[in-house]
Parts: sequence; structure tokens; C-alpha cells
Amino acid sequence: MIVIRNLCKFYGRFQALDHISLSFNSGIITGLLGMNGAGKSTLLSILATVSEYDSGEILVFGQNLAENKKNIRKILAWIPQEPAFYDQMTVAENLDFFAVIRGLFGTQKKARLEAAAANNRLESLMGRRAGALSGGEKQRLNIAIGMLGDPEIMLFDEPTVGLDVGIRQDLLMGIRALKRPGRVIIYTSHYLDEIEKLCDEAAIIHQGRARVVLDRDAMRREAANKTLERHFLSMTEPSHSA
Amino acid sequence: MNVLFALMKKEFLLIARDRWALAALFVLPSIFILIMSLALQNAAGDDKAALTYAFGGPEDATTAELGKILSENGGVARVSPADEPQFNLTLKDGAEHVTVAVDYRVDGMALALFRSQLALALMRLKLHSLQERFGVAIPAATAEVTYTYAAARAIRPSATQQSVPSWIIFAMFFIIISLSNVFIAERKQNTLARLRSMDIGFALLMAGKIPPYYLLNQLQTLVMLATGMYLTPLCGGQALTMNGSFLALWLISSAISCAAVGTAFLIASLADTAEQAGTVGGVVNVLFGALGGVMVPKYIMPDYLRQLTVVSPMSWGLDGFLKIFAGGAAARAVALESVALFSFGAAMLALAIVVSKKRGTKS
Repeated sequence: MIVIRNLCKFYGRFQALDHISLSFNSGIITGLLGMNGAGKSTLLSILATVSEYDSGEILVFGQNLAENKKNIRKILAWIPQEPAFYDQMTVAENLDFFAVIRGLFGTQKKARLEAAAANNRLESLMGRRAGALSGGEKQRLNIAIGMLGDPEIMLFDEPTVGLDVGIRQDLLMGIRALKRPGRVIIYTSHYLDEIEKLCDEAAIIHQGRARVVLDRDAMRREAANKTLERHFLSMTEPSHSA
Repeated sequence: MNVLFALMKKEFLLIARDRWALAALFVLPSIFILIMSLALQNAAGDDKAALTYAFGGPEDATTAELGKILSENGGVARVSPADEPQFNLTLKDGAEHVTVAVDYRVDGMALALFRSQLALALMRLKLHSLQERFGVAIPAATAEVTYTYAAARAIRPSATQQSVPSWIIFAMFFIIISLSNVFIAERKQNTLARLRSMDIGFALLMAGKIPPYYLLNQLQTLVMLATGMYLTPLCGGQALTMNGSFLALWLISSAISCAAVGTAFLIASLADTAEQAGTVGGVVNVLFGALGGVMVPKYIMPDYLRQLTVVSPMSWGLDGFLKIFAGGAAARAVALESVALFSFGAAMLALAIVVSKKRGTKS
């Protein structure tokens, strides 16, 4: 479980995160919904330990993130929005490289590589240069790299941006299959339908603040009544955002 | 250790797959070496710039003897009359009377030089005949010239001795563009951030990048040396000969590599885009090269400009190389240049770390 309390982050004088308090439970997928620039990616990069925060507290499975980065990095996978791998290397070379970086060797490495490739349907693409893959294939490789360490925490930063509908559905199915007991999955998006279909719980972030937090029951109600969209629009319309 | 090897292997793969960068790092400087070695032949102190002469009359024992003596003096070459020699010699009464027909294009300095060489040769010819007539052996006086290393700076290198090290250094600094392209792409695509989230620190990342680029630089040195030694003579230029020690060569090329890698890291850390790094890297390279005597040899620069060359690390490297190729220097003689280059590289690297950490904290 991840608990965030009163988190603030500034870029110069601009406040990207404004006293955010949220919790992310294990065994489910939690969605972070928000418009571009709402603060979703900033929050995720802080959880991924690649950005600093100015104040507040983050507890990851009971450990303070600021003091235990090394330990926490061993159990998390951050899947950035842009495919973060090497275009000039093949799919197999990329997977092998990141597996070693993850500390995998020998038979364990082989098994994890095969599993990651199979789960993301990359077996037939292993010899192809990563730069020559299609958008959907690149995202599958991006996710496969994240899966290599069998992480306890998976942070997806808008993985479907720029992909067409068919490929988006395909990717969402793959992400849903990653759900397992003990694993925290956080998924950010500005697509309402994705959050509704994929996530068990959700929070709407706007202008650096967590405006609405929806637990499992609330999410079911929102999905049934199709009221999430209304919630979201009422939150993000200019008259409400001043 | 496995992680470090994986980082190095990754870097090798990225370098090897960038064909345009490889062409810029190997082919381009090799072509420069060939062109500049041939173009500078007449300006540099090559044998091709020697005074040329031919005998007008028939070949006999006297002309053969005089020709032999003249050839013993460096810088004077005998050619056939058809090759348009600068001086045409006609001997009368043995060598009692010599007529010299001088080509109208020969300047006063060359004429004075040839006259002194000829006078010396005629005196030695007379001395030989006296020795033979009276059976007296007069030992020839010899003067051996050795260069101290400081004096070696003043040696005017041959065209190849000037061109090979110049373009080796220029090519080594060209990795600025290659390294910064990779580094900036890693930063832009969030691959660096992803590696950081996997607990790969900046120091380890650098440790994974430095050895591949160092080895690439050493390979460049070998290819350029081979170009100077084997390819240049095939194209009509003078072959490069190794006069100094291999240890000295390795030391100075390692020091230049350190300076080049350090500069590359700093530019890569400062630039936001690959285009910026390419432009800044190119300008820095050309400026260092122009100021350092790479593009225009120092010996044809005016004094004030020659003194200014000291600000360019390429100049330090060039001085080191010239000491080895033209002065036959040992490792100790290039210690000063090597220490300066290693220090420069370390300072650039330290600055790059500071800049990168600042950028990392800001994000």
C-alpha cells in the first residue's frame, strides 16, 4: 500500500502538486484521472523516485520514500509515457539490457525475459530494432521492460496516448492481466473510458489537487450511472477551476 | 560488475549502429589527413621541397662524385633535366669551373642556400682529389646535431607529421557530437530517468560510458596513424615514421581522449536538444582546432597568434604529438601536456556532474 500525505511540489513559483493526500491499495488498479498538466505525471515521477518533492510524506509499504529510495527502487517499475528504451538496439537486446540492470542473471533472467516477451506478444519481434516498431509494439516493449523485475509497484504514465482504439484496448487488457494480490498498480490517463473500464478505484486530479477520490463501490456506481464524466467535467470546467 | 558491463555493452552497440557518426569519426579525418599531407608538402619541411638540380653535360666520374657529395647534404635532390630542375650545372675542366643556370622562379634565399651547398660540395671534391694525389688521409669533420625537447618545439614538422596528429586530435574531439546525441536522446526519451528509477546513479552511468568512448578514441588514433604510415605514401605523400616511444604516444592519446570525453559530457549536460549539442559541439571543435594549430599549422602563424594557441587543449595535444613524431620524444617529455589534458578532462567531467545533478534536482 502507498500512502501520500499533504504532498507539495513546486517548479520555481508554479505549484504542480498542492497538498495532495491519497492512498493506493494493493491488489487493485487505481486510476489517476486529470487533464494535461493536472499533475498526474509529476506525482508518478515522484513515486518513481526520479523527482523530488518539497513537502509532505510518502509511505510505501510502511517505508518512508525519501529515506528508503534504494529499497523502494528494487520493487517498483515506472512505465513512462514515452517509450524509454534504445531505438538502435533490438527488442531482445533492450530486454536483456534492462534485465541485467534489474539484477537478473542466469536462468532467472531467461525465465523473466521469456515471460515478459510472451505476455506482451513480443516473441516474433525479438530481432527487430526497437526504433522500427509500431506505436503499439513500442508500448508493449515499454511495459515488458517494466515487468522484468516482477515488481510490487507498477506506475503507468498514460501509456495509451497517441495510440488508436484497437491498440489501446489491447494494451488495457494486457495491463489488467498484471493485477495480482500484493501488487499496487497506478494508472494515469486523461481518457475517462479507460479509467472506468480498467480501474477499481480512482482519483480526479485538477490543478495539482486531488478533487474526488472514488473507492471501489463509488467507482461501480459511477460506472453504472455513467456519472464519472459529469464529475470530471464539473471539476475541470473553467468556472470550477478558478 | 555485470551492470557496468551491460552499460558498456549498450554504449558499444549504440556507437556501432550509428553509421554516420562512425563515418564522421573515422573516414572524414582520414580523408583530411590525405588531403592536408599532400597539400602542405611544399609549405612544410618535406624532402619534396628540396632544391633540385641537374647536370647539363655528360655523366662522368666528376659529376658522379659531385652528385654523391651534394646528395649527402639534406635538402638537395638531383633530378633529370626533363624534370625542370631549379639549377642546371655545367662542369668544365673537371670541376675547376662550374656554370649554374638558375630557373627564373627561384628566389634569392633558395639561390643563396644552393650556392653555399655547392661551394661546400666543390671544396669537399677538391679535398678528395688532394687526398688521392698525396695519399694523405684527412678525417672528415662531423657535426652531430641533437635536439633538446624544448628545442624540438621549434622543429618544423613534415606535412604528414603535422597533418596526422592534427586530425587525430580533431577526430577525437568529434566524439562530442556522437556522445551528446546518445546522452540527450536518453534524457529526452526518459531512459535516463528510467535507469535512475532502477537505481543506476550518474556515476555508474558515466563509468559505463567513458571506457567505450576511450577505446573508440584509441581506435581512431590507430586508424589515423595507419593512414599516415601506409595510405599517404601510396597517394604520393611522405610516410609518417614513428620516432618517439609508443608509451609516450599512448600517454598523450589517452590524455586527449580524457579531455575530449570530459568536454563531450559537459556539452551533453548543458544542451537541451541534440541539435543544440551538435551546433555547440561543432563550434567548440572548430574553435579549439583553429586556435590549437590543427587547421593552420602553428609554424605559419604570426607570433601573437602562436602565443594564443596555448588556450586550446588541442594545442597541448598537438605539441605532445609533434614532440613524439618530429622530436622523437619519450614519455617523460610529454608529461606536462598529458597532465594538462587529464586535468582539463577531469575539470570538464566534474562540471558535467554538477550540471547534470542540478538538472536532475530541478525535474
